[in-house]
Amino acid sequence: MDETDEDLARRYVGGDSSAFDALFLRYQPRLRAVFARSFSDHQTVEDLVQATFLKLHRGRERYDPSRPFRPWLYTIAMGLRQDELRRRYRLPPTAGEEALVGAEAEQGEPQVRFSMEPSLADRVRAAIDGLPESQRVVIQLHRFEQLTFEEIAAMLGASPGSVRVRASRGYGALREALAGVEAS
Amino acid sequence: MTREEQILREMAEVLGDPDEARVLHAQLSVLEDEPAPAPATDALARLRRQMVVPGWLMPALVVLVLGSATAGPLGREGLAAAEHVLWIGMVVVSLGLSALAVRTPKTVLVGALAAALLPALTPPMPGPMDLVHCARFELMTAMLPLGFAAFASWRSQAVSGWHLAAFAACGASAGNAALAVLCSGHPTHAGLVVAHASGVWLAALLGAAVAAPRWLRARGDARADA
Repeated sequence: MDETDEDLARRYVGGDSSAFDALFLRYQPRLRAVFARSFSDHQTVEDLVQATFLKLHRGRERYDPSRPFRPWLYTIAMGLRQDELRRRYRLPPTAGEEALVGAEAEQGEPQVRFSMEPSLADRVRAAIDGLPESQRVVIQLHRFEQLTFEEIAAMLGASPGSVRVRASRGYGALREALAGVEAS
Repeated sequence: MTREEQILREMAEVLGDPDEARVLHAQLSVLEDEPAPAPATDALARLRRQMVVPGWLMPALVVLVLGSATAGPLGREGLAAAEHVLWIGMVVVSLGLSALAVRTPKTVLVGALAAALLPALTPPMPGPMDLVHCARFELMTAMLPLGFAAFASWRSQAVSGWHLAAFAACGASAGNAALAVLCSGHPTHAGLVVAHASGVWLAALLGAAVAAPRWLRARGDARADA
């Protein structure tokens, strides 16, 4: 049976570098998927994944083994996502999640694409890519990473209510874009 | 209730219709089985290399460069040789560059390239204008590392305040070296060296000032996360 994240994290904090490798191999693809949902360029995604594990490593003494590992890792990742967005929107380091959403809205709302691609996967991907980043990240964490709205709110430093609103808008737009499409 | 059921229930809550939530949940599941894009093959090796660099290395490097850039010239020439006008000019330029490098790396990059190219295009001039010629050599060599930092920042690489300070200090030291080689016979050489050394200190202090609030905030966040 696979070791739990917490067991691996405990071993890693205790100095076992093979446990770090196991955590990296386990979470690197998932983090790449999360960052790729927010940023389209491959290099930024790779850099953010690296930065997440580097920050994890430098803060490993502060890990509390009695608490779950995954929220801790994702909170670090979401902090780096916010740093990158602040840089892109030229916002000060103190700007929080709500300020990022506001800056995104000022850039203009993207249009959800009604793709006529033959494959369902392509149509779903096109519909998600057409959402604003602030909604894509919530849907990625909720639907694909199986995190609750409460957990996502804590990771983003936002209120659960605002996360629900973003999810509601994102899922609503996807429902319209994929209306009548048969799930295989 | 399993986690998947909980997610489905939350989807139904925000969509207001459990049946539509189930349909959308099923539609989105097509992306679950997709293989993740291939990672960089050396991702773990690169990370391991970065992990062995301790956090104190960059500040230590800055201090080392500072020490070597200032101890010699100051010991040789003495503070009395400083030319106040040049020192004030260095303060203004350093302040402007530090602010620009953080906010508008493209501008710094263009400035660095211009500073590097202009001295090559103009010949040395006799008399007092020769001082300007020497200062241009300094500027050319000092700007190149900072220009590289600005380029890295522009290309979405993270450039921290400490990195900027190190780049600025390296640039200033390189400028110092260029001055010593190319204008060693000029009577105001001592003043330029001291002015430049002051610029090194100022660049490092500004880098630290930029880095410190982020470092303190990151420390606070990490404590909160834990």
